[in-house]
Amino acid sequence: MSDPKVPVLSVRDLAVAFHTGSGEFDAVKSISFDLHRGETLAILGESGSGKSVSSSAIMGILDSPPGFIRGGTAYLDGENLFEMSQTARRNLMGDKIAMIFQDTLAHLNPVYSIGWQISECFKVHRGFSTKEAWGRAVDLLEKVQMPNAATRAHDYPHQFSGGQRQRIMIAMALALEPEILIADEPTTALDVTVQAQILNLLIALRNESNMGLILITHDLGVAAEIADRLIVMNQGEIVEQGLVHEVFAKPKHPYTQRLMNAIPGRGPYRDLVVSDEIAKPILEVRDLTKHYAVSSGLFSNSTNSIVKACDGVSFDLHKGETLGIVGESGSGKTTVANMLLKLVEPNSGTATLDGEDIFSVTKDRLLLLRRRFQAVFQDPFASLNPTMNVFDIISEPWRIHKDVMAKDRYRQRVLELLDAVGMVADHIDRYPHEFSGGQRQRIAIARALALQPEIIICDEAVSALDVSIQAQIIKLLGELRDEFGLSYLFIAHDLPVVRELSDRVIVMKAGNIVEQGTVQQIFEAPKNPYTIDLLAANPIPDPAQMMARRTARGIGI
Amino acid sequence: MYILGADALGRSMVARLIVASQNTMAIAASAVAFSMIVGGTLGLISGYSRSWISGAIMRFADIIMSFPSLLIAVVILYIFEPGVFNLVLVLGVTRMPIYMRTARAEVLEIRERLFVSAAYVMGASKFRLIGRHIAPLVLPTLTTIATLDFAFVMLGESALSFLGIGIQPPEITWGLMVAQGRNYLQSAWWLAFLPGLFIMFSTLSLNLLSGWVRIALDPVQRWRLEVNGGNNE
Repeated sequence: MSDPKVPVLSVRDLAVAFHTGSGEFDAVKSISFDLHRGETLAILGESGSGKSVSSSAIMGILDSPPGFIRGGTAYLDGENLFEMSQTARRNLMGDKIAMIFQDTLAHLNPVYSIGWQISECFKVHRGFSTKEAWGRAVDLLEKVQMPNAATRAHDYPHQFSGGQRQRIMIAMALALEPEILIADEPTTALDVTVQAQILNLLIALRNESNMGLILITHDLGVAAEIADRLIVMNQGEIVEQGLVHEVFAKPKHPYTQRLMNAIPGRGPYRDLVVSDEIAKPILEVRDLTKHYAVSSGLFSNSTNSIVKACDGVSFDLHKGETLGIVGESGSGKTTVANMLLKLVEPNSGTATLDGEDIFSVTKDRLLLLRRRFQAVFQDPFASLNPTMNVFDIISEPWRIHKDVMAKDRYRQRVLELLDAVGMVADHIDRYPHEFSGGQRQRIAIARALALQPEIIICDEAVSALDVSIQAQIIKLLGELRDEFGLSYLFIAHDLPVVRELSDRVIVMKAGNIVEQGTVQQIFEAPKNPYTIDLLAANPIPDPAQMMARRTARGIGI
Repeated sequence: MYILGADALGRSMVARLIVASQNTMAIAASAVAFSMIVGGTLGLISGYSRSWISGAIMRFADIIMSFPSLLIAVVILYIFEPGVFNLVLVLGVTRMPIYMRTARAEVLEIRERLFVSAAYVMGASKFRLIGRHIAPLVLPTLTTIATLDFAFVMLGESALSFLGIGIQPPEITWGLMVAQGRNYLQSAWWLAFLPGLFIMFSTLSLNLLSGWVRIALDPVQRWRLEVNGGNNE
């Protein structure tokens, strides 16, 4: 076996650039790093930092053109990957380096059973017979802890949950026992409890086969949990690298320090709104219920089962208060938002806004009520019409509610709103695609503020943003709340974010509220076992807590 | 005057090609415009509506599609007066289903996008949702189909004219010229070839135009024009 001190992968001065309409753009500017056997190297960075591009270049899956490797070397066991023939390199892929991705559904072929897809590897690379390959596939599925592996191997990708699909991807990547596994945001699309399981699995497999693991992530918590060494990238350059606990304890580079400071959920709890108990709530939700009937057979009309997306949810929202709703996917938190926004009709229940039930009022009355509650959605790239400019987007609410504002005041008011959300006047005639995710979310917030609502429903409003941008948007939401006396219904899967902004928190699971209370109660003295699990699964980028949990996982320093 | 030769009756080809362009363009353009506007609108309604109307419009499209389009044209033009207006109507109606189906498919996807939900949450009316948020995104696809359809309509018109139920001589279109020239292919090939070439060129230029229009209308793509052709301003 090779000397453990010699790195299995050694990257030197790697530079990757892209051809764009206005010249060449350097995505990665001369980075160097080593990966040893049995080591986990986390590459941490925000979007556009070049973290994924560098790994694509190593894997040879760079989009080329427009991308190209400008220079540098990547030695795998003494051979330069960039000088190899295409054929030699292709044989190496899968055999020595394997990769897993974030979007598991897109990377699995929907028309073949997963057993077939995994065994294909053995047939192509190892020349196994179909039966032999199938047996190995089942073994692998067992190895990644897939329950009932033998029977489930016959199932198709859509029949698995996100976490299970990621296990399948890992099984495929591990099929040929690679020396290096590159995991590109492997848990970003998953719930925290599932994320914890996948991270545990990755570490267990790494320890078992002594492979090198490169973990590409934007999540400081994930990096803190399982990495040995950490590389922090910003705008195509490595700004800091070192042992994880050292970097977290004493970040040296200003960018790393900014990143660490942006981590949500560490500040003091918000002072509770004082008038809480006395004042009448502005929004009262009672017994909100939504059931979906699922018919199973193709030819059966009878409904076989009922999915309770939301099962008797009740809560109050007071003026100036932020109510956080947390839960994992399928908990019904978004269903609640969609029902309140009338995107989905509830089966039963009431939502009373100042004495009027929004589910039973007339259409005309609803239009008036709509002015008082607005929404900010998750994906700032999808929630703005690409064919409208900023002025049209923000002024649209007034075009719908014509009596709110005279037409000649539109422009001035749009400018005021842009100013309120921290954008400049120059932006008014631009189109959404010219902005970054954070800026788009600011535009969406400005639009929500246009009608001067009392309540804003934020459905995962900061989930799609980078950590530092997330911190800015949370700060902005907090300032706007205090300035305009807004109430937020803040829906998120991300616990620290909820802790940062909320006064009270509701924890939902499978359509039910399992626990509710003030932020402090929920985060410091959770009572429900589910809440406790949820909090425990959440990766914490705090060196002291992190070390304890790493020891529990069996990761050394 | 006779640089391109003359037809069987000794009439100048140049002059005939130029005169024919008026009729050809007018008929093809109005037929395409008719089918795009009516078909597109029906498709938008059918895509947005969740009631029986949606199904009804689609079955209507199926009915048109399941008849051979030339057969309907022949029957209708035989019953009614074969004139320019009826010709446009028949050609327009028979080409409608493409627009209906495409528009509907696009709407079904776009209506689920978040910005449509966002507008709905603001209280936007159906007309606003369809007109302001959905239609602008469907339009580029429909214009592309329209330019491709242009050639098809020109040829359809020529087929009808050839059968004697389209444009009546002495009125002339390129399609009719192709049809008439077919008899002389062995002795005077240019009679059919030249108008055919014109049909091809106009389709080709329309295609280029539509590509350009699509880019110019799309805010995301507009920079391409600004980067490469600053003199377009």
